[in-house]
Amino acid sequence: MDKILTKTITWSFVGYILQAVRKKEVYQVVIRPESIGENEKSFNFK
Amino acid sequence: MNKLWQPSAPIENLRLRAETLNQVRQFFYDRHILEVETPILGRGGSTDPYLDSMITVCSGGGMSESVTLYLQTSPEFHMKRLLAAGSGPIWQLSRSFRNGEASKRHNPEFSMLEWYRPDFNLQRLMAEVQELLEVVLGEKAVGFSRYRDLFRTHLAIDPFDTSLDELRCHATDYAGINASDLDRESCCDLLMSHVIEPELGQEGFTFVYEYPAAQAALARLKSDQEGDLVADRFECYYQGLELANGYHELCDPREQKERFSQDNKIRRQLGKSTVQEDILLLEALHSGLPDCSGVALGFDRLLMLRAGITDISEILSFDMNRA
Repeated sequence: MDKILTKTITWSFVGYILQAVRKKEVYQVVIRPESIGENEKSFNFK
Repeated sequence: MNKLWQPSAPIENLRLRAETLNQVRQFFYDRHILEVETPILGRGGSTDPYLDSMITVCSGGGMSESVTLYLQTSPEFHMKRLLAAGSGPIWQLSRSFRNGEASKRHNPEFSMLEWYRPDFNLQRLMAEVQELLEVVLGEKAVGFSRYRDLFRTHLAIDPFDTSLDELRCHATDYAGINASDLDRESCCDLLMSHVIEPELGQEGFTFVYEYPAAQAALARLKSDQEGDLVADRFECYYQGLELANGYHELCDPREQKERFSQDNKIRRQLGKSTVQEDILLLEALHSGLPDCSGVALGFDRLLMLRAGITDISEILSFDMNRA
């Protein structure tokens, strides 16, 4: 898939998560879909 | 035929894992750092609003009532209780658990290499992290950069001085989402993880330090050279991969309790359940935690880098899909 397109899809999904959190919807991601890609929030070991 | 019974990692990668563990164990043995094991299940959990614990209930066996227990997101609380009890320098490789964290770089169950050094400041601890990485990955160039300087270099903004509206605009521009109602920390985290982090550590190990005070977690605060309050912590990156997170540890029980309370307040705002704060950790801090620095390193990620692979499942005997 085109890299830019992939990133757009990724961000659309991130946006959905953030909006869901903001609306205080019950949202539990157990396994993230691959479309989330490598760009994730900082993991913060420790 | 279903092949999910088979390991997700090639056997040769499991040999590499065992070999690396031996190297790590020797590294700490040579430095007279005590290897310890602490509980994976604890009565208190991490209150961090952006971490989610897995929870279970223990009952029976003569217990008068069932007890809610948290699978630990890191062994930090128990290790600090050992430090307060006079253990001296300690390390362990611990299984840790984080809900909602699964991708090619994360497995919800993972191995955390964590160690604590009384009387070490962050500079000494960063040097020791570098030594360990060189044992496993070989010698590399090493770079150090302040958090705010990375934003200045990569985004031409100062995350401490830039207005929230401007941060939101940058987050929107770079991320391609509507960031108009994100808070300052979320904007900075998006910009850090999506614009800056992928560029870090391409030439060698990169240590980032002096994070915004709001990202202190369990680290102390101090003033930076501009006079702003910053978290006395660092992160280490290699080839764009976040590898380790270190703190000059917070020892003040009142400040720690306040941070627990603040975390739970944010969790409620986010619609998340609150987490039982670790009372025994607070009592240990009251008893006296020695001045120390500590660091946690993602052991699976270290192995990924050593093996030259990009999918964490290839370094785990059985990843979550096969567990």
